[in-house]
Amino acid sequence: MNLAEFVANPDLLSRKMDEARALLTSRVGVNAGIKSAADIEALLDNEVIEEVDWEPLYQAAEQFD
Amino acid sequence: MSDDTLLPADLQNRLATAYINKILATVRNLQIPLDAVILSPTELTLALRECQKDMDILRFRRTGNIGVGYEDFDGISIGKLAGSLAFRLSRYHIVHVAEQAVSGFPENVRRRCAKLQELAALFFIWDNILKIRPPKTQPELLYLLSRRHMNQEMIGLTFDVYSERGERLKTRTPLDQPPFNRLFKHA
Repeated sequence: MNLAEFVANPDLLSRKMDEARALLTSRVGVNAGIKSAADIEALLDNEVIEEVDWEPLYQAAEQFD
Repeated sequence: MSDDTLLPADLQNRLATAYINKILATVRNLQIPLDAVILSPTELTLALRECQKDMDILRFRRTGNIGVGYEDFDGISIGKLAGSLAFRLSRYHIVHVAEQAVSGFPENVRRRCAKLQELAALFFIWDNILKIRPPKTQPELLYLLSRRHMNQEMIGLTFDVYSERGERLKTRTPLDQPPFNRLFKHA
């Protein structure tokens, strides 16, 4: 619709919006995964079994006050 | 364990213990006297209570339901869990290092001490939650976490990217097995 149509028929805006609303979805694309507290428990139980050098992490703290 | 929340009290206690173990490892690395590091269990409790709210609010937004009885719930990403934990464990006044205990230490040690909570939070996230090798971009992440601002969901999205792209560490149960193959996505 254009502005001239709106001036001629102000109710047209609401009808057009109702038409648009009928096509909307409430779904949102989000990252997913953890469904329960048991999933978080499993994460904590599943320990890392290789040696990791954490020194770079500590050194990152020395780069600023 | 209660199904009414994603982070019941007993799980919060486990997360707290894992986090404080990272504080302990960091302090031992710095060779600071252990009795110079003061812990606040109250602040730790508050931080994890807030994390519980973050997770349950996310679940409510995804499902429109509090607690059990929801369908088609795909879960909350591991990065969002990591983001909420890192943010809350960095913001509350959980750990204090007595200044006189480190006054004679070299500048690099004092700089590490000044970010003890944030260092431990990242250590905890890489090791206990995301199981990835510390990324090369973590200095800016540490700066953001300790000195600038963001919210828990934005840093959560950042951790989702790290989780997808990061170099996986070897774990007792491989991460391509259930339930971990549902939690960890590969690029």
